Amino acid sequence: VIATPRSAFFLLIATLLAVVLMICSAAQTAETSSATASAASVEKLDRDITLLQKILKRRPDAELYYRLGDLYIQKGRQTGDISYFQLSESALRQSLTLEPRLAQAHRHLAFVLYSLHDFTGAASEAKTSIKLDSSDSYAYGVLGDVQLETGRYECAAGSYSQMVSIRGDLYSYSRLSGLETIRNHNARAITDLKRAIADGLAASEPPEGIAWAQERLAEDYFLLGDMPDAEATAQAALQTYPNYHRALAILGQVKAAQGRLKESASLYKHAIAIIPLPEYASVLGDVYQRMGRNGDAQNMRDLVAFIARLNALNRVVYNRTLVDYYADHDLHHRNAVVMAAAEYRVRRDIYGADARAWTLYRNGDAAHALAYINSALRFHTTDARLYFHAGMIKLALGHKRAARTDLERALKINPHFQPLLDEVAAQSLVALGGKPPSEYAQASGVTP
Amino acid sequence: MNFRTRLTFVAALMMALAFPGRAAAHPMGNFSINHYSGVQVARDQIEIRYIIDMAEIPTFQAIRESGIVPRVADASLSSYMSRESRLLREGLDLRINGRRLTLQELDHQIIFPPGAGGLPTMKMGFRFIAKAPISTIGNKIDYRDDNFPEHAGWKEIIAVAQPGIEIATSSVSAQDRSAELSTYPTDLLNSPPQTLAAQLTFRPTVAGTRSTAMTGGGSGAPRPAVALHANVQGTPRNAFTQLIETQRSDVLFLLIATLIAATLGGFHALEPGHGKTLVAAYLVGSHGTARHAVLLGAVVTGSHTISVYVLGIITLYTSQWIVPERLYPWLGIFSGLLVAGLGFTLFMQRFVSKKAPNSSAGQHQREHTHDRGSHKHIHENDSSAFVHHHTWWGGHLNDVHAYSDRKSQGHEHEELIHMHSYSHVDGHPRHHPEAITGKGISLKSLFALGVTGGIVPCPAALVVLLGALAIHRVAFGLFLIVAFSIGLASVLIGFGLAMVYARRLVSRFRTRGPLTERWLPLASSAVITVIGATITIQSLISAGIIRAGL
Repeated sequence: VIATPRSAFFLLIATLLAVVLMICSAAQTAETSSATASAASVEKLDRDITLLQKILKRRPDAELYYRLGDLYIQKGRQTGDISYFQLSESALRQSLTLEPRLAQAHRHLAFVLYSLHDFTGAASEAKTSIKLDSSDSYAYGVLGDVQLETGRYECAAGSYSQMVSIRGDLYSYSRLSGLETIRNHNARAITDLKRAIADGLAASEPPEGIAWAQERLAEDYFLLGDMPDAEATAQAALQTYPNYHRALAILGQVKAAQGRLKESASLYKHAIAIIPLPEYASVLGDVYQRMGRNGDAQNMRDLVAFIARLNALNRVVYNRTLVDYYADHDLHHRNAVVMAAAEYRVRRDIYGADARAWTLYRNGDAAHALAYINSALRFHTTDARLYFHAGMIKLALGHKRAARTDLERALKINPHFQPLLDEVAAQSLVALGGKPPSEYAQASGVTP
Repeated sequence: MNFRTRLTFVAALMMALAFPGRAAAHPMGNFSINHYSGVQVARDQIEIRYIIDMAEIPTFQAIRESGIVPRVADASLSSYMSRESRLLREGLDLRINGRRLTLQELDHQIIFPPGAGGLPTMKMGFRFIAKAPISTIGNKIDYRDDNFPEHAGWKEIIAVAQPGIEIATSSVSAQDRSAELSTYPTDLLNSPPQTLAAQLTFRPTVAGTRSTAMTGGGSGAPRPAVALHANVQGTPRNAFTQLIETQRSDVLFLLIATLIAATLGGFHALEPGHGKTLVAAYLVGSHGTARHAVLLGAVVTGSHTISVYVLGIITLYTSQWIVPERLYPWLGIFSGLLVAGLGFTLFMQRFVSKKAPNSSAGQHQREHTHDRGSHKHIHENDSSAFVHHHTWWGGHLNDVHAYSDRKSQGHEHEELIHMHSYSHVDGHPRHHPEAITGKGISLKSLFALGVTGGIVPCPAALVVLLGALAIHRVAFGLFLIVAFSIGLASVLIGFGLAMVYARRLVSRFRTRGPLTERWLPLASSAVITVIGATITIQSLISAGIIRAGL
């Protein structure tokens, strides 16, 4: 019985408060349970590794070495620590010494070599695996990955087709989506990734694997300029696998595009604290610069330069991140051209062609760059960066109409595709008599 | 990029050039942060020996963020270590029977062992203690390390008991796997531990009874203050570059440092393919006297020292515009052209002279006065030199394909000069009496050859110069380079003198024949020309001047 209106009011407020508290509590519980599940998964992995090591010390066994190799791969993917891939390679080779016809070990070794960028070795191992067991969808998957990375898209399509026809799951659908994104089949790519995530959850795959697919989906949304979905998916990835550095980075990228620079910087900083990848430091430097924190921006650029030196010391051949960084920031033109060319000899994918084009353009050779950027855009991939590069190259060649079309397309796809360079795109478009999207003009103050 | 950072980069780069293929990363990877907690339970306190070992990248970040100078005992480290001690303690959760304990620092240490390419890594060690009144039964310790969450690396916790304590159960081992992060056993079946938490139960034993940990054979004896050591699997170092980091400055140390630098310079001259030595041998062995040998050594020393200084300065102050590693291709181009030119000149001279291989001594003398580099008489040692060419050539060309290292190319050039010199060392004394007396040697040609021999600086010397600048020990660095060059020159002079005095002895073993006198010298000079051209083209490709296809 409600005695007075005042009582009714207090009761209403109390009810609302209770509801809010319940929601908060439920959310926190979900987050805690997610973090607990992830931590449990990490602990289980470490425990399993230790257990297998102990058994193998007593009794060498091909199958167990293969399983240890598998666990090392998982650990490597979790931490981003390449040394686990090297351990995995040793374990798998040991397995194959004991049992040379173990198809799964060949397939896993193919994946490890692919991760270490030994594409020739990876293709060879994948083919051996297929020869030994033609019903293994993952072997076709790894072969397709190698073909995708080296720009042999038709072959990759064939391999992926075989893979999916044998088995459709988290790993196969997420792989296929990568090819579809490049071929500009965006709707299909997103459908496949969603399917991959659903299958992964249903099959209770390791959280890191599911989070990886979610992060890929967030990236695809970002490429399409769909920031709300990109943000939601990145958050979902962090729910699945808390502190996942790739998810933190894509979320940081989304926040930067939304103009939420402080949040972006914080997310990138967190990602770098976990694994200081040059791509993270590069974007964080740009975000800092946009915030006017020039000292911090310089620190990040110095970090990228430092990593570049380490890569040189370690004789790292594949340096696409650094090539992009140099070209984006107008640095070390000739060196970037040489690095991009060295990589392109082996990796002739569209992003390899783009790196060639963008570095040649920066080095003052737009004429040679044109063929490469046309090659990079041969599938009309929906990627604002590619169109921005094409626009700038054509502008340098005096192809003003084509340049304007490309720059408009870049800014239409994603008005904030990259901190700092989006402004360059907008300013160049204005100079060509074009009009940047109103969303961009409001956010960055560039006026036609 | 600030001045100091630039110096560090350049020094690292030069180190890589100096020791190709030997630059090794931190054993746990360039970006790892490695943890070690040694929990030691005593009757009235718990001690944590806590060590953090940062690889190159986190060290770089820490240096940039804090502004410290990576040098042991630097003034900037005191406040940094205090701050780090506080922050790290905040990240350590130590509980006894559920009650969180406050950790106090007893002592600490910090060192900067060199990692990849001599770049610094950072290792900090602390001894933390917490007073812990324990009951007679049922004591439980919960320990968790929350520092640097999620960061990859070696994460190890061990637990041991001091006398009077018995550990009943423990989730961690008492065995120290990494010797306090000084060695990382990362073989196939020993992947890095990932332990960041430990639980143990313990009880006091009868007073005075010595007890050890439940598992393993860890010593329960109280341990002394932290004493950090560089990683056993660390980057192979060069003694010369280590000298620069030594803090001593007394006379004895300077004397020892000078001797070491000079010795290393001498050894450097003796390294395979080091053509400076053989340039001297060539000249002195062919025409010179002891006086010329000494003079040539002095010229090489001077030109080498100056070239180190000049290249160091250029590398430092033009790194905004020139990527430092791009400098070496140019030196490669220079070397290649020099070799090709030398080879071509020899080829032409021999081609012309082969028409009259057995001309008179008078004729030889006349020709020789026209051109000191012209050698018409090749004997049995040419044959052996040619065989040597083939063996060496295959190996080194492979190296060039494997590594685009400019230093190797420079040495190839010098090796070629060296080979060429062997093919002439014993050819002249008999037919050119003026060479024995040394009358044919002009100071101008000797000076030119000396400068050529020393102008391509040894990257090792450059590393020392840049490293010295980076840690503000400029004078010491300059001094060491002079000592290094003197050592190098001593060997050159020694070689020259040996050639002068051995000339008569060697000349006894000559044989003659059309192959050794005509075709082998011609082929030898053709090979030199081709290899010189190859080096030049490879350097042009490396420099990006020539594009190798799309």
